[in-house]
Amino acid sequence: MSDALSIVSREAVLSPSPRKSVRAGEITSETELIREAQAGSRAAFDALVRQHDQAVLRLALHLTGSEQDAQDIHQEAFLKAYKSLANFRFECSFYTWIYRIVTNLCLDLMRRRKARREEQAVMIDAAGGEMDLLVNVSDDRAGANPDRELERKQLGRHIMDALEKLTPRERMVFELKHFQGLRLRTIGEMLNTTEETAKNTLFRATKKLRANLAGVR
Amino acid sequence: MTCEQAQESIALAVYGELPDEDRHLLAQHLVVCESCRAEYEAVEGLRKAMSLSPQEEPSANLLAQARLRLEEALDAVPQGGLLVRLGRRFRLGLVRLSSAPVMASALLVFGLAAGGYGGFRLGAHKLHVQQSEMILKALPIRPASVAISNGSVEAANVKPVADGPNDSLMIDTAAAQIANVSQILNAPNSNRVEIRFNRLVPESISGSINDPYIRRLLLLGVVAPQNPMVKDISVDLIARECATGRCNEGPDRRALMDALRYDNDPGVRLNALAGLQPYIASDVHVRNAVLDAMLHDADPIVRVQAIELVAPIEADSSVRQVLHTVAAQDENPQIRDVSEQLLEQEPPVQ
Ligand SMILES: [Zn+2]
Repeated sequence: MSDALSIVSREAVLSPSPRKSVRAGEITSETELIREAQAGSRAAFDALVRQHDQAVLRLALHLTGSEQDAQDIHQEAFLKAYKSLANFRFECSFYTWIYRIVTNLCLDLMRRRKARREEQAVMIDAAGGEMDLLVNVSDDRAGANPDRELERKQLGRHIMDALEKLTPRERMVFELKHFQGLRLRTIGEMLNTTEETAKNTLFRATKKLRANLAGVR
Repeated sequence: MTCEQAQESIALAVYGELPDEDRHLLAQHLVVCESCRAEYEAVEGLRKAMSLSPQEEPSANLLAQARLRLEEALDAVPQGGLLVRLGRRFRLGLVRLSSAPVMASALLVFGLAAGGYGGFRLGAHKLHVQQSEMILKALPIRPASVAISNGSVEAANVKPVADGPNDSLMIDTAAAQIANVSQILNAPNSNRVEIRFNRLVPESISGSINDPYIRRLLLLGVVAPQNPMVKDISVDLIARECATGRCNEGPDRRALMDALRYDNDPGVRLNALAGLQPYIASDVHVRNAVLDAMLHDADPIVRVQAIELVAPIEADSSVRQVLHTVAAQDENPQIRDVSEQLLEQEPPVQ
């Protein structure tokens, strides 16, 4: 019981809410870069790219699980940004803007893939000894278990499977929240939706993930 | 709070998105409701399980390749023109042109790294600012130079912390009972870092990257990481700060130079290099470390990057000397070309 309580009192890990709390001078420097890039400076645009492209690549890599797809998305996203930079009106941070482009591209790709997969999907439901991995995980902090490495590997595979079963949008919200540590408000902004919707989506995603992970073989 | 409301709040609480008042109500509900408590444990279990599947960082190669492809694609876009392309060779040097964000705020958040280690009671979060500061200021320190040469330091040698830590002082890990740094969290475009470290129990402190105490913990992430990931992130964050001039001459630069010389991961070495860039011209130690990288780094991308960085100061004789060596001896023909081209240029008037 004290477990649950201490966790409840834990504060949020990181709250990026990018740029809002940043000093004025810093805003100017990125703003200047954007303006220069809008005026046609490739160097300025490149500097913007370098600031964000590793995060973009990481996100795409994790979502698609493929280096090739991640590279494609990286390229397409920044090309798109380059061509439509004139439309950037400083209404949100550049980071939110570029992530919006990236998440859209990723969502498209995930939807296409999902459609393809569902056509050929024959759900293989292998029987076997039931073992609740989640229970195992929450309990393993004490033990030196020799098979732990193997278990983790299996767990990793199950996690990927479970993630694949989410809808692209649920997957995206979960990814941005759990792995990228973004605030739901920011996530809502990126996905062109409200914080409320992002909350509900996170709620659904965790529910589904638990259902998919509890009682895996 | 009803069970239904509690169920909806739980995922938000686990992910730190529940407002204070609601968190209070949820905690009260969990005390009396066993089934919701079980639900909470399950969602927290999910979060932990998911965290066991670490996020793959794009490799330095993948990143370099993606950048190359993007450059080609951008070159193909009409507009931009010749003048822009002429500037391209030194573009690598512009990488860190625009700085990582600064934030004035001090420590904000404190909490246990992972729940379940007990000891922290409900309501403690109200104290977190003061508590966090107290803990940070209580971290024992010792002079860094002594730390290296001498295992134990007398208590009398330890200067009390007045307003902030002195750059030459390191956290005394033994006295602070810090085992290692286990995780560093930093969201893209934020200068907030959360540093999780293991003492007798895992602990976690977060605050502005500009806070000197936080910076000392980051350095500890380089020296005593629980896993390589922690070291990577520490180096990257320190490099980002240094690239924008917020870098002390002592520990910060030393950490980056060590990373550039000894880290196994070329991505980490590249980050360290970028952080050292502003000091190549003025700091001879930094210059030597970068010249070493030009000559000896195992990874051609790192060598090229080092060359790009020293290019603006190629008039310097030690730099020209190394460029000559690289132009004559580097195994990679492209690298030989680049250095040769640099040498052929008129040295800038000093
Ligand atoms: Zn209940």
